Amino acid sequence: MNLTPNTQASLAADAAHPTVVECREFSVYYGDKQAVRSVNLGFPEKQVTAVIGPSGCGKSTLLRSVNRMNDFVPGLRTDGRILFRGENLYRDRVDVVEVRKRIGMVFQKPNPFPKSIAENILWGPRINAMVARGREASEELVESSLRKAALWDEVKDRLDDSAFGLSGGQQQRLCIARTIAMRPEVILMDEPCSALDPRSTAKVEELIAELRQEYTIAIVTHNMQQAARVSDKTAFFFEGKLIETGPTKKLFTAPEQKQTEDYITGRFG
Amino acid sequence: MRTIEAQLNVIKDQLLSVSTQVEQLFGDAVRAVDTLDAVLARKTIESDHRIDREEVEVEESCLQVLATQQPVANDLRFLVGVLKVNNDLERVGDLGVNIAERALFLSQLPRVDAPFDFREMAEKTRRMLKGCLDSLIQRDIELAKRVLAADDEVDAINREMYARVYKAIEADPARVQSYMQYLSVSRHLERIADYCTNIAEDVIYMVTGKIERHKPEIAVPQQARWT
Repeated sequence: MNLTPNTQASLAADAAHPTVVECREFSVYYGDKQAVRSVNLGFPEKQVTAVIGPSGCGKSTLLRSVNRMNDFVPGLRTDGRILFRGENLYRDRVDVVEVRKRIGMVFQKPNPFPKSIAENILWGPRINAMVARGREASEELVESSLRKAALWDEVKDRLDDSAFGLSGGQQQRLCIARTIAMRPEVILMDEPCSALDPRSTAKVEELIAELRQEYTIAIVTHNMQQAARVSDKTAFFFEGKLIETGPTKKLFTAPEQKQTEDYITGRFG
Repeated sequence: MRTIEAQLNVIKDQLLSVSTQVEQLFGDAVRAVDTLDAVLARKTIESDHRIDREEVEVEESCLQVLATQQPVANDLRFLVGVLKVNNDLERVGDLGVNIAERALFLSQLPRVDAPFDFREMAEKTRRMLKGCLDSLIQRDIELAKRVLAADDEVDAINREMYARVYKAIEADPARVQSYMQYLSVSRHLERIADYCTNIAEDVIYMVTGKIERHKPEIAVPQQARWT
């Protein structure tokens, strides 16, 4: 395939952070409306990639396409490819459940199951037979997942209490712990802090910095400062198109495209 | 208009006011040396207080926007540039005061001919100062690059100064005090020219996002030089 220089830049990977997920000429249509327009974008391993842009720019649609979450949307059609470790996620006979195990997702609003804190962690691994029978293995998985989500110390004495008793920020970290329990390689986060107060937001952001050591993360956010704070790479979308992508520190100090400049400085969008 | 835009416009005006006063102070200081006018020298020294006050105001305005607006990209580069330019302008003002103080001294000493082409050096420095301030206002990086190139000439005159002063003192040891004052003037002019190059580099950063400091290889076409 012939790639333009810009495309090469947006897919460029370095040896330390090879590309894990790669959108190639990827488009999404809702009926007649094209929501994502022939996007080329790579998500480097163990890095945080932020996807920013005004409402309706296609950023959430793209993110949800990465773990086939859009499959349920009626009238939705895709074109192009999304490669996960080189395999096209949109080829025929892909095991979608397996895809979602390896590419987890955290949503805008914390959505714990109406169960205990421990059950929230164990539910996914149990139905997927990913946890050995017996109390010990379960306890170990609950603790390690909650520790990785920086929630263990706050909930260790009430693991059997309902998850609904937690604060919004704690619920969101529980959802992250639940995602981690499935041992994914990639974590997609769709506006994970938009329903949280500044303190809980700061905790989730610290957590993202921690998780980055082990997981590849893609985060969609409306909060530009958050993108600047937490990400290594930023991609700016407008009207379904990828306008600019590059190292976050470059994009927020000296962006190359005027549209990016205008958006991040608040001149439009 | 966005709030930040209005705030940045205020800062632009504030910096413009500081730069106008610094240019004025510099011109007065040079004239005071040229004419050995003690009254003008004293007035020049006095005028620095207002620059000092306004410099603090510019800094406070910048800090306020940084704290409340979380600026990025162009806006961020502008503010960082203003903070640095503001600081450099204040230092140029101080050096202008030093030059005026030399004028005051010289006016009380027996007259001697300046041991170097004071007017030429002062004029080159003045053009650098005007050039860097114009490049700032017009966001003109070509002009900023010409300022960078012009610095070598001022440096060269300053280097020659030592030899010339040495000779002048040898020839007329009784006038050593006066010659030492001129040596100081030359060094202050050279320092001012250095600050002008700092400002020009900051202009290049503000406009392009590229940090051009410590890069002697910046290409300036020969015909683009103004001398």
